[in-house]
Amino acid sequence: MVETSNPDPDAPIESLSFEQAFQRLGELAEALEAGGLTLADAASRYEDGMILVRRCNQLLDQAELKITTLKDAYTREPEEEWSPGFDEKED
Amino acid sequence: MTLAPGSIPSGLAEAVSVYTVAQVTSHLREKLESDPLLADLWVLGEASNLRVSAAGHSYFSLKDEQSLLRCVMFKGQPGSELLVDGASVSAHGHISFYERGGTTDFVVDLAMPQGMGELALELERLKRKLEQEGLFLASRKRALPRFPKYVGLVTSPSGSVLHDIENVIRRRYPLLELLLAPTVVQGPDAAPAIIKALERLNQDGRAEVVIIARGGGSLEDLWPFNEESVARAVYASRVPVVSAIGHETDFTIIDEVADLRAPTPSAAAELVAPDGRVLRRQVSELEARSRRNVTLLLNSRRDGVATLANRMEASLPDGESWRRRVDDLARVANTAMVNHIALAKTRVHSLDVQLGALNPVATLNRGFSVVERADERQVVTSKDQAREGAPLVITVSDGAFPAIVGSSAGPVSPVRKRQPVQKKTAKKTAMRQLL
Repeated sequence: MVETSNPDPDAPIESLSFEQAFQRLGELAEALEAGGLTLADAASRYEDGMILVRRCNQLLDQAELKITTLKDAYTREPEEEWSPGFDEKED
Repeated sequence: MTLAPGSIPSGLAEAVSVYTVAQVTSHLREKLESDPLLADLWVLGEASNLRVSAAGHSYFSLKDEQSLLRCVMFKGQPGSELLVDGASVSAHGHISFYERGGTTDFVVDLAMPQGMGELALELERLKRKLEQEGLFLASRKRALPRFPKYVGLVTSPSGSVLHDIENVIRRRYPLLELLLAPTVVQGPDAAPAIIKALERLNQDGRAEVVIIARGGGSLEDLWPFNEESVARAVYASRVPVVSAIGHETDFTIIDEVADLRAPTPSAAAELVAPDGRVLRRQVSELEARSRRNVTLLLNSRRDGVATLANRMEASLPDGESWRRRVDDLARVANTAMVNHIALAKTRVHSLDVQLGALNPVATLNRGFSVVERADERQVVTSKDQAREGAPLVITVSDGAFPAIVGSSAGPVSPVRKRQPVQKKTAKKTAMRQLL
């Protein structure tokens, strides 16, 4: 499976995927709601949150659907006998 | 070659011409059960002589005009309720030789009402089989990713299905990338091509969910999606699969095996791609929540600061009262000062008066004079000191002058001079001396 969750907490917001940005925004909102933060901490989280909001909206607004057709690249390789057991093959 | 008890090795027939019953029945059984046709067949006939044993197994016959087949259907197999005497049924199963009874039996594992087409019968059979194997278990259905970055698509590269799916995803969540594994979806080549396409997506590894889609069609058109091999490939896929075959009313085997069945290809796209409008709304809700909470926090801190400020102010000495006290003191000091000065003035005045009374000059001013003997510098206080012709010095208020005692013609009396005196000057001088 492609790595999606658990983004590096220090990763710059501009590099986050929608899922990561959305998740982090949710966490920030939770933390602000839960309270117990110092004013400085809350303010910096809020600031991050607003950047995340912009990032999420920007991703939704600017995305262009990409369609890639998988070539028969795999079949040109010496054909292994494929069995439905690719469940067992671990990367 | 193994020599299992009861089996008849080849070549034995030449050495031995008499067999035990067990040897023969065992051989029969082996022969019958190794025949591929007899191991998996459908038989159409009329059910009769039904008897259900205490254990729940059904013993019956299938017959037509000419012949009869002894059948057994063990408890729990699907379709046993159809086995009423006289009913025409299609039964699936295998032929077995029952050694203890010496009978050849058709062991039925599925009975269907007569009149179903071959494909329908096969479909039903395969469905039962895979279901029993657990391929349809709800417990193995996997959750779809909430925000997939890559979505695999197994479908025909030409045709409206791809187009529909593209449109839905473009509208809802264009952030993802569609990985199209093109395949034929109809005809004898379809099943292996579909399997290969699914395999390709699994090997590629990027797709987090795969849609297998095809537009509507007849049962024959949709048949590749009922193939056992395709069903097993879907079952084995490492990536969750959403099936979208035909119209809402079409059901295929892979619909049962897939992690999720979508009624149509467009619906599959909607199930896979989150709705951008909903996400936007959620983002703005999160934004509002954050803003609200930060504002609350700020306000509460502001209140806290105000409270502290009030407390600090309250604990400060009262400026007003101090100011009043300073005023009071100033007033007291002022009054004291004024009084002091007035008193001092009074005292100065009375001293002045006293001094004025004692000042000899003042006495001279009032017209008295001092008479001294010029030779002895003695103040003349007696007439005996003033003999005739004696030189004298007489001092008056503004100076002294000499005089001679004359002859006495009469008694001499002191003279009172009524002359205005420059009192002020004298007073000033006196003051100056005082200060």
